[in-house]
Amino acid sequence: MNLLSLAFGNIYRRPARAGLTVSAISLGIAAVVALTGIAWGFEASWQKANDARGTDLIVTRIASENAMPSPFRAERVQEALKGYPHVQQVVGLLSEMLSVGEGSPPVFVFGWAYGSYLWDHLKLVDGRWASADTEPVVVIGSLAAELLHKSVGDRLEIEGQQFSVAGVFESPAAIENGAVVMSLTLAQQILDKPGKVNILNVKVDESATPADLAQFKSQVRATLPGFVAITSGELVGKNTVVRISKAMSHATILIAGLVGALVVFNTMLMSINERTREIGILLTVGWQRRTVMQLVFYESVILTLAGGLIGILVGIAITGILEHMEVMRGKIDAVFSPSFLVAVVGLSVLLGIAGGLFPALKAARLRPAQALWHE
Amino acid sequence: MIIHTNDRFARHWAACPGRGSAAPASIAPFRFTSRTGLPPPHGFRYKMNTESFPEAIVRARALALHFDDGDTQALNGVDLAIRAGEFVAVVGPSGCGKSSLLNIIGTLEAPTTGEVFFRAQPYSGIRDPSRFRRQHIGFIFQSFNLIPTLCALDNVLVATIGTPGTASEKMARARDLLAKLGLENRLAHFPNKMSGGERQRVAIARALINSPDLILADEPTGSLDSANSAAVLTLLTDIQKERGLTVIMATHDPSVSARADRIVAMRDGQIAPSPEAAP
Amino acid sequence: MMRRGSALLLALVLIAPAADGEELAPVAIAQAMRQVRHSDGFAARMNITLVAPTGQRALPIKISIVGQIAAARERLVIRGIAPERIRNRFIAAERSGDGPIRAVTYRESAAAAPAPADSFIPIFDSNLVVWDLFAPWWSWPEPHLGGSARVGEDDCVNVRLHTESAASPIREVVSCVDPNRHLSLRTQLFDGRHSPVRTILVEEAMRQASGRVAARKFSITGADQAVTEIEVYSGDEDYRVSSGTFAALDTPAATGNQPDHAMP
Ligand SMILES: Nc1ncnc2c1ncn2[C@@H]1O[C@H](COP(=O)(O)OP(=O)(O)O)[C@@H](O)[C@H]1O
Ligand SMILES: [Mg+2]
Repeated sequence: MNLLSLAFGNIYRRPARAGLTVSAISLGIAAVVALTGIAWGFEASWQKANDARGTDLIVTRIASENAMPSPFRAERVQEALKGYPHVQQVVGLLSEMLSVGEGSPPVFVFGWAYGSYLWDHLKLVDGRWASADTEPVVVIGSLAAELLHKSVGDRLEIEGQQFSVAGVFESPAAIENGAVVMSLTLAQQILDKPGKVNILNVKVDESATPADLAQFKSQVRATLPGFVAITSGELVGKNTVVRISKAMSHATILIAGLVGALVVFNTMLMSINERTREIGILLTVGWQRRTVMQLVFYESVILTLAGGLIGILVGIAITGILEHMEVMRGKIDAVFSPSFLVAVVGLSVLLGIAGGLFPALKAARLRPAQALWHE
Repeated sequence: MIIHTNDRFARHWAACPGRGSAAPASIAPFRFTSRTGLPPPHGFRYKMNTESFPEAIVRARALALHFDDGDTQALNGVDLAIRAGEFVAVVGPSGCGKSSLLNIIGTLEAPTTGEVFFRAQPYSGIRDPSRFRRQHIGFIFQSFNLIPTLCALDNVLVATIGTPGTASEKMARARDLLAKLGLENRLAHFPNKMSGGERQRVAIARALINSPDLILADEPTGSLDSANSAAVLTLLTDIQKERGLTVIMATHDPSVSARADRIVAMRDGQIAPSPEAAP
Repeated sequence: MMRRGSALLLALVLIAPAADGEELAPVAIAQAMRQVRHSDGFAARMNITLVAPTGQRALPIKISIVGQIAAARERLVIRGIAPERIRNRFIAAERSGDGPIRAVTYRESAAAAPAPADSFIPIFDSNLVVWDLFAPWWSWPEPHLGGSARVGEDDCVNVRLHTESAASPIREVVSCVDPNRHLSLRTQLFDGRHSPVRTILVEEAMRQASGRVAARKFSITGADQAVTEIEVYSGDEDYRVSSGTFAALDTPAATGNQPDHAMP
């Protein structure tokens, strides 16, 4: 018999209320876990895509907030960048969300400079690569193959032009797995954007240090007005999808936090009102006020902790279900890092403390003589 | 100024080594009840040997307790001295202020005016009443005040939470105590599965578990039939004698108060003149 | 890219950054709306969905519009992308100054010379009309204000314009302009008997890299209540016009070939 077992007992003997409280908290925590995991998954996926491509820096046009980035003519910038120290390759990339074929959802269509290092990280699982820059073929990611119901040899109509699927690849990045990839030249041609790219991928040599990358960035700022160089990590942070999903997960954390704290607050307050007499007895037998507070805190923390742990499991389960749903295929690739899960547990404990604070104070302030006669 | 005394105290006093039987009845214990008496010695906290140094363990001075902005006067100028080892019954009609007096002595309630001293230490100087209760006072109530969701053993153990000692040592103490009170077969029983007498014995065990100096019993037999009343009372007096405890018991049952060393009668929030009281 | 690209799309869709201190004079608004369309070259691709008055939706078609707009000359080329039946069917149109709009239709691969076309014919059976793309009403004389209104969530001010030219099937236009974004949120076109012919309604706008705001989604509702929904899915504010882009307009048109109203 100690404080903790007493706290457990107090919760255990009010199973209905404890159950409701724990479910409410676990739902909130599940939402936090699922959304945050997905948001991080987006980020990690973009990061993976960048890392896997071996891109150290990307150079793109400065776009105003909320603006659609618009393609630019690569030639002049590309030539300038090639002269920068440590630069090995400067490779153009053009991308667009397009519907390919009737009734299918829009997919990413990437144009990558033929023969550039960008292709190196893709693993061919079927078929072959294009044999020339202008050969009218595409390769598609394994997920795109599934979504579009296409395989090697099938034809694909993109912006009114016919392509045949030369190969199916797998990429470490979910985004690329769901994409159609062709040579930059073909992409520019079908989109009627000759010579244009969205971004220039820069690969530097092994000896380049972070200081060199910083130097590269300031050199772009100084000599290429209207352009900006971003390391791939920064790019991911600026990605709208990543930003929106992160903002959503932050909002969820906030709302779930508030609701969770309120639920605990309500539960503990009700429980304390019911147990006023019991608290009077405890004070009478010599319990310290802080011991009473501790008991209430233990109870709230046990509730939130249980809610938190169940919530984590439910959140992971929800994400798993979402990942396997047809409409979501390839769009999410959730990441649950151990430190995040520890933080979620920490968050639930915080909820317990926040929600239990006032009830605990209230319980500790009871006057024993009054509390004893409370019915 | 009201001075209470009885034979037992006189015997103590006479038996006191180093004091002549002619020692004036107005010294030592009585000096503390004087309004002009010396301030209590600083840091007066050690346990007194009540046998060799009979002393007022509790002394109340001019206690008043008002409720509802003075409309209800539960206590109205109570002076009282209780000596260590005494078994005192506080008697009087319902509503005369017995419970109020015990609550104040038990630090469950603060007096509106007046002061209580525990071994000359003023209550107003107690910084941690909980700790004080835990160390010095055990409570027994008419309604038992057991926690319905805890078994007998846990109801006793709950009073040891926050006290020094190991769990196994506390457990052993609680078992011993309950066994001594004849409850060795009731350890895992919940209050609603026990008789009134058993419940009150659990409450007595809880009151004793931290080895208090003073037991405050508010109508301890009020909810019991006469057989159980007698049994509980016998237990209480036995333990009191065995441990040299001081007991203050509120009751309106003459057969109960008869077991006390001394009776303090109350009426309308005041101590009523009693035939036993000294002039 | 620092070139002053014009907001892509069409007349109806164009707007400029707010001009400081500009008064809400109708003439000034008309002037600004003309000005804001100027572009050295732009391209836009859009999905067009026809919705019958019964609510039945046709499969979307894809077209591209490329244009170059200056005060002296304005040229547009519309190309069908998908599906197969409209693929590489072209309509080109031009206008010099405030002159009439001349349109031709042709096919890329066809050896035949471009055929003259009517600038009032609907594009690929939709409510989208070549004539509207030029927004010629902004150069009609004596525009006047018709009070403020609210379109969707946005406030705008109505500008009424009309022409005496008996040659024009559209004689009157009421355009509700968001003066801050220079975006015409709603454009109502009327014939000579004041009967509504069609209404162009902007549903979603976007700010482009240049800072200009253009419609991303808009609809055109005809007098028969058939609706054409248009969504821009790709754009280029800085399209490089080549010598071949508008070549069809410089080729002598085959004569005697009457415009094909059912087409192109
Ligand atoms: N918390 C309280 N609020 C108001 N009046 C009280 C309160 N407690 C006791 N009283 C009143 O004080 C008086 C003395 O009560 P109490 O000490 O309980 O008497 P007893 O125990 O002798 O029956 C009664 O009139 C009672 O109604
Ligand atoms: Mg009472």
